[in-house]
Amino acid sequence: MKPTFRAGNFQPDPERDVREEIEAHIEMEAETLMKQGLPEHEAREEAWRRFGDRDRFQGAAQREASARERKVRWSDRFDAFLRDLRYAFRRMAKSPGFTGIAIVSLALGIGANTAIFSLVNAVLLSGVPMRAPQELVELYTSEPGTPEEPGYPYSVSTYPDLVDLREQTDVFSGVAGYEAFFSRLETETTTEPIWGECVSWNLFSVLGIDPEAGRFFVSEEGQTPGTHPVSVLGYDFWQKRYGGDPSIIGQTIRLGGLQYTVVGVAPKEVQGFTAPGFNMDMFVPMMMADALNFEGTSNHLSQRTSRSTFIKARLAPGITVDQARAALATLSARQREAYPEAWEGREFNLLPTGEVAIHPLVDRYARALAAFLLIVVGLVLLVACTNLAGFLLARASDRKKEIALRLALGATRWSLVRQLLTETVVLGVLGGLAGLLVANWALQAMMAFQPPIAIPINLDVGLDGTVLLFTLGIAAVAGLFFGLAPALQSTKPDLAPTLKDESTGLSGAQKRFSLRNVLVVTQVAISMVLLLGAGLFLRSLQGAHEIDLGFTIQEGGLIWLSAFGDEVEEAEFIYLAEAVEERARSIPGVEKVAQAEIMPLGLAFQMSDWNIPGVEPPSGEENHEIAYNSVSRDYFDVMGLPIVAGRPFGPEDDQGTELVVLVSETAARQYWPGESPVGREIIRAGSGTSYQVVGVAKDAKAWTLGEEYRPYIYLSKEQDDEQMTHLIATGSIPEAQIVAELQRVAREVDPRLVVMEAKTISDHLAIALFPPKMGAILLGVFGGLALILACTGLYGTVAFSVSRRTREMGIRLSLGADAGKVVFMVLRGAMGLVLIGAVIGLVLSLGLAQAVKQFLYGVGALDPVTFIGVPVILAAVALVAAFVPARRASRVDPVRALRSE
Amino acid sequence: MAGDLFTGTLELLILRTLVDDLVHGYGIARSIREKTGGVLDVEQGALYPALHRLNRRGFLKGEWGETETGRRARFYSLTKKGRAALAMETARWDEHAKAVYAVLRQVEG
Repeated sequence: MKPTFRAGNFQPDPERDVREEIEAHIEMEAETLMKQGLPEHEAREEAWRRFGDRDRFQGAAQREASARERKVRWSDRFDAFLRDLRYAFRRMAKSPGFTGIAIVSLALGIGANTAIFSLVNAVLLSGVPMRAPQELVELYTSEPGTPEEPGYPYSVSTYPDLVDLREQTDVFSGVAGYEAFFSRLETETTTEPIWGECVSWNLFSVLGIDPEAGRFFVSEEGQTPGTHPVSVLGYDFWQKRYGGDPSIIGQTIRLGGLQYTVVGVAPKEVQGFTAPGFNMDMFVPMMMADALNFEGTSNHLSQRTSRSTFIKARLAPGITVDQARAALATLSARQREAYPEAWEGREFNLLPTGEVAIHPLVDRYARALAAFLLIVVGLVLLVACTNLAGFLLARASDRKKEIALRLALGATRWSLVRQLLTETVVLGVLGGLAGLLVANWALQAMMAFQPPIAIPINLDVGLDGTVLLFTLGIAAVAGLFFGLAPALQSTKPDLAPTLKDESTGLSGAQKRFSLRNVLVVTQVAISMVLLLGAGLFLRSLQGAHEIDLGFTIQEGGLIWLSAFGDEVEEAEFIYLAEAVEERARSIPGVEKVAQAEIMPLGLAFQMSDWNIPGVEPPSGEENHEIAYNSVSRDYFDVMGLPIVAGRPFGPEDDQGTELVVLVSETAARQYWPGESPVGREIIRAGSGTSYQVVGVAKDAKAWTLGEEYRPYIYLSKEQDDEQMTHLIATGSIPEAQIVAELQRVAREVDPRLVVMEAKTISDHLAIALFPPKMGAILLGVFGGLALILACTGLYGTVAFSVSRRTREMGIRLSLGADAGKVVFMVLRGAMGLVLIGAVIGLVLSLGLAQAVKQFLYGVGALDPVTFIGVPVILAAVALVAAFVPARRASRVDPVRALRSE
Repeated sequence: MAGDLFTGTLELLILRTLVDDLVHGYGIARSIREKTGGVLDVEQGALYPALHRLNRRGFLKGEWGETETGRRARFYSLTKKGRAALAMETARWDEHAKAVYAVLRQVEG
């Protein structure tokens, strides 16, 4: 019995299979019986009789067959997947050039996305892990508005209010609070600045956080101010400062002049609660807040006007957010009645903790910035993907004959699409893995780029599970995305025309690659948007450098000195600061030294209320609120800030003599228009102290580069008691050396002086340049990346179209066409696409430029240099990318071209 | 004949029938009937659950084909696994048969 097999053996329905098999059996048996002489009807009956219980046997066989089929289907699928995978790797190995380009461009695109996402994840998404976070709420006290400024519902509260919230409401199972403090850790030999948080004793238990080692605070430590100097160390501080030594628990450390017993270590995930990235060195009970208070003032814990406490609470079981809000409204009303002065116009407000990432005030901006960055890197990835889609389309056209053949041989379109997609998803995942390396590197570079401020930022931007999932997700989606269109197009079942040699046609060449053209246009448009953004920020950076700061100092050293009120009296501090100034002046190579309470263009800025006789304050205000600084005699000289009228401070402006001030040009113009302010009087509101204006200083930027010059008052450092000063020194030796010398001198003068911050003037000025610089770097890198990718895409498209049209070129050339004309023809097609993309990109950018306008310095949103320069550069680069393959078209040998196909 | 013993026997016979040929279900039934001289002429339908069970366990593979007379039928053949099973089960059957035979002889004697 030699059977012949039919093609297409596949029988997907096992039940039907068994039924037909049994029917065939009966037929054959009946046939045999008929040959033995039985009539057909009887033969069939006999055959069924011999077969037996049909229902039972057929049912049993069908069950077996179905079970087998299910098993087979899964193993078939797995086999097919392995086969697709092997095929994908084989094909990738066969074209290493494409594979390399694909993986590298995906790695760049995915890496950029992963890096930015890790940042967003660290800042906005992943917070401190807390028990049952859905029950947690943030409580705020509102800030009443003024006629000029609207109020703000989510401001900080006072400690007495926290106690009231805990004791006079029953909607919370726990109310806890915290506030940041700054102090110093003293050992026998060193003094280090310390950042920490004063926390209510129950903060950790309300949030449901367990200590890494030791314990958190207990109720007893949260009752009476100043009685329990205990401390819980931050994990990183514990590691860095004590090498993770567990025996530190039980020992004492000296903090701001008091001995604290270390009782525990916080877990690594709990860096602090104030803001993400602020890695707190330690936590102490709230009751120690007054003892630690930097200004040396006391009673902070009992004052209803000293607002600095953040409050978190856990809703009592069964209490909804609305019920809690109602209870807060009741308590708010009671507080307004009981404490009319402190509470006028205020109320408690509540937000579920899940809705707050950093703080309601900054969340909006942080989220907008995050969205902006994610869009930028998303666009880069989009360019990379469209690029690869373009390459694949070209390759798909090459494989069209192979695919058509396989379709004709019975392969289903789905199986081919699946095979092609497997290849691109594998590319995507490989690109994703390489992207992780890129992201890791980029994050390290970013984290090394510490913003120039005094607080150590330590964002945990590790590649955690969320980030890995994100990366894998976008890698797979990218693979599907750039693979789907080519896979669908190349398996379109229009067999007949494809099996003929389709590449010889003279017409239709343009139409057939319309998808590729759309891709090129998209890429050019995206590159245009990103590059215009980069251009604007570069111009802004340039503009920022050209902004007239008012003062001319460029280089020098700067230290920020302070001391603690309970150790160094104000008068003594002033004396010590002057001693440091004197010593600094004698450092070889240092020429000029001055003091200022705050440094302009830093993060600090202060204003106070003044009365100016004869000058009406702004409507609705009782006083003039004017920015001020307290500076030493040589400040104007050191900073390079000219005195335009009157005189600078002199030795005669001492304590005990008449109080004097200098004012800025803008202040002079605004308060005494057309007159000289010299000799006029201004009065400090509150204290009523009178000052005489002795001079006018040139206008200078006080807080930001972008600000308009504002009225500014300079007090004499010698007449103003403050326990804080900046020493500014310039000289002929390198800046960094000046900084080191200043620190040394300060230590020598008195070890009780705390150096809060030490840096060069260049670094200090860099703070103000930070935003435009970051903008220019980020957009420049991403825009450049997009341009490179887009040009590779354009090159590929033109090269492909030239190779397809070899025959056409041959004919044109043999008919006497000029080689230059052929090149021109090809270029015209390519540059047409570039033009369309560029125009789309320009139009999009006009809108986006308005959105970033507020971040730009000294340059309009429609800066002509950018909006002309960038398109010219882009066009030039695109022209080169198109020209190289186009020139190949003109070198076609007509004879070979015509014969070849 | 008793069910369990018979099921095992039937499967063994099916495997044996397929040792050197591709056979369809009806052919297997006929072959068993002829080779056993009609002694084991059971209900033919019992063959099919057995065939599909063997198929599921990977001892057989079945493929649709055409008979010499042009009829469509499913042809079975042994897989490698099936051959190994046949060899093992044959040996076990031998032992089994010898043991049973020995007992029967004692009773007789």
